[in-house]
Amino acid sequence: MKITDLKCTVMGDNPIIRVVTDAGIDGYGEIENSKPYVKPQVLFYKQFIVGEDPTNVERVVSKIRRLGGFKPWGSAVSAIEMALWDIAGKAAGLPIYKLLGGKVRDKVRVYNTGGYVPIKDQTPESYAEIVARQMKSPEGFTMVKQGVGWHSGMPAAVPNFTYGEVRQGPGHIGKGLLTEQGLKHVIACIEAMKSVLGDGIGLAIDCGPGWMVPDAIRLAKAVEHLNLMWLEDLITGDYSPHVSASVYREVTQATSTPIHTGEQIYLRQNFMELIEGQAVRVVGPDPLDVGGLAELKWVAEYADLHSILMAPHGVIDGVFGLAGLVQVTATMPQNYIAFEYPVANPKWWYDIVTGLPDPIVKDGLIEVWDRPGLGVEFIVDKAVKYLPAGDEGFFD
Amino acid sequence: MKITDLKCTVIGQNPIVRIVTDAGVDGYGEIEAAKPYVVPQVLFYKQFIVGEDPTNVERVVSKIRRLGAFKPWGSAVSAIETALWDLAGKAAGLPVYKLLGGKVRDRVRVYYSGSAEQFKDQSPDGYADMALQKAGRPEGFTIIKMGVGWHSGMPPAVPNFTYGELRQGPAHPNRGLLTERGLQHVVESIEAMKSALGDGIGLAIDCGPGWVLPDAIRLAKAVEHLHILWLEDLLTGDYSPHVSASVYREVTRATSTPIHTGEQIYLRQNFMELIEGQAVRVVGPDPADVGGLAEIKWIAEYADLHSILMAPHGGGNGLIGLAGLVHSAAVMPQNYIAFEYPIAQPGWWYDIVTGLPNPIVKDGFIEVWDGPGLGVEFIVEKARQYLPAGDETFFD
Repeated sequence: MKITDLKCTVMGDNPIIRVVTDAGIDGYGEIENSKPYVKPQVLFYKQFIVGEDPTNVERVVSKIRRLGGFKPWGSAVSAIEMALWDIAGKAAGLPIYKLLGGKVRDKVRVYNTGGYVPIKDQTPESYAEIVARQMKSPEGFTMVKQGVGWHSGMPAAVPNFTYGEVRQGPGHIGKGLLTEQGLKHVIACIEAMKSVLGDGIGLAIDCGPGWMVPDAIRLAKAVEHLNLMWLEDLITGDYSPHVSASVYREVTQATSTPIHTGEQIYLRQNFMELIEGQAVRVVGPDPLDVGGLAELKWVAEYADLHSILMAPHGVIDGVFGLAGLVQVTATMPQNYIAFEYPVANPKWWYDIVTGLPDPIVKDGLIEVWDRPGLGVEFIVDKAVKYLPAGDEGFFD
Repeated sequence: MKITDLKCTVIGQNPIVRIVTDAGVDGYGEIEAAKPYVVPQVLFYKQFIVGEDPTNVERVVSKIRRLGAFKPWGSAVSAIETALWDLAGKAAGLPVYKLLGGKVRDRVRVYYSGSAEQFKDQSPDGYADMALQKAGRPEGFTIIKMGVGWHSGMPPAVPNFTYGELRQGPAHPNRGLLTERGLQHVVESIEAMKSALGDGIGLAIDCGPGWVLPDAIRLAKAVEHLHILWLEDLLTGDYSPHVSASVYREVTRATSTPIHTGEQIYLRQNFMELIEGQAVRVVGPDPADVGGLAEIKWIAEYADLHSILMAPHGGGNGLIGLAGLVHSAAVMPQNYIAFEYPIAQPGWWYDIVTGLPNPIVKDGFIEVWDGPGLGVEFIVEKARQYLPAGDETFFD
């Protein structure tokens, strides 16, 4: 079997990748809906993989892996890798998890980061209200996550929040020392959320990037009594083209609150200092940014070797990204906590694919399915109408 | 002054960035000849910088810096940064070096690694002949650099060179253990070059990436008596989306031969382990990949703080890239050795710009010039003919 084409279109806002072969089998990959602009990068890799046998996934990916980078520039290679696993699975008549070593669990836990209704305002009461809504969602999530501080609307909305000047620019540009009032506001919001959730539903907090070490340590210590699942991305994170592991280690060593990072990191090599240096307690790579499904599984075992937990990122990975997350997390060791459940946007996504369970999430868990490859397929005659002008031939 | 447009075209093989303002002043940046495919990435940043004051360079770059990554995905941000300095210099009527802290040397040393010469073959004699050709060039280079091992034609040409299987793919796909004969061939080739050059011209060796650790240590020790200026990129380098500092440290600690890396690394944060861990003796970031002129100056001082030497990469950076290298090298501390001299290709590049000295290199040095900004300008009426179809209005 040989790869004959690599196609990329944008449906809704998610880049969708299709790898086509001479055997009539194709494979799909998906990229976060915040990155429609990476389409030209995806197509750049075509010249290197056409003619290769897609069922030797590693052999194909090893040709292009070096030509990727930290988020957003690792997503193209990652989505191509996932599409190759989709083909390899379909060719073998096996679900991908069988090709990744076999599933070690029948259901995978997911956590919810929202994505249904925007928060009303930046007061503790509104934070309490938004988690109450997450708690009552029909999926029965056992864990929820909310953003605070530099990962929220607080810097702009809360008066006298920081000693710095709030900047304008693409997402997550803020950074700097908080005022005492600012830090107290963050803590009050976390306390308000926790008091709604009680001890029956886990609460994880997304924080940055952008915190300075003294603030990060103060925050982590101030919430120790709340038994949070983790504090995420205090120092680096969304779109930080670096790790700063030694800085994370300062925070981790100072507190019993678990510290989490990793969604932007590309490839296992860039986890070396973080994992071997015990710089965090939880890592959260995204399969569609870290280099793909096999790469994420390897990092999970590497983390487990060092007693570091695994909670993959994925909130905007779409329905094919969801399928990839289910397949790979089914194979991870017991350091696996849960992955961030992607809610597809717009809603018509759920009408144009087949293969997902109904409901997808029950009691906060997803049952691992057994269809070949990713096990999720486009219903082509329903999907074509969402192809952008110029890409009408995407499914041909 | 406000940015009104960001344009990008490819002239010859080099992407050229042009930032246009409402004050009639514009600025240019250039990307390595190997990367025409990054044009869409350059244009992606336009939305974030239009409307900004280009003379506050850091303020503009801080908006987009997070959205870059290791080579090749850091070159767009880097070239934009350079173009902003060009603008800021022109607006102030000052050469860029004055805005970077002031020159500390009047002429900057360069080294030569170019490919204008032809190899006879991959034998030690062929290497000695090549080294003599480079040393005999009219520029009077005082340092030359030659590729060997995984950074050369040896793997396919030398029988029984490696225990691994040679791979096909985009540049530098290979890695693996050398045979004793293979390693001996590398050592003999270096010895042949050194005996041809004597001790009057420095010899630097580009090696990889792709060496495994025991071979790297054996090589470094085997050439200790030859006073090699450095062994470059043994483990990671061209298009490695990671650093592997802890592995480099193993080599550096084992030998008196200086170990060098860094051309692919984006941003100072990714030098932390390398520099603070004394993992190499020389770093070689490229201003057109590391994040720009101010970024490479900062890293030069950071390296100097740790007694690590600086020899910037730049062989494919073209004539505007050359100007950026001259200005940034002029302001670096005394850990500066020399930068890799770019020869523009095709040769007509020298006819379409003005501002370069004639000859550019004398006795292995370039005199630092004083024209405002980068001090190199397009002769638009001569350059226009080389604009690709569709980009005819690039200079308008």
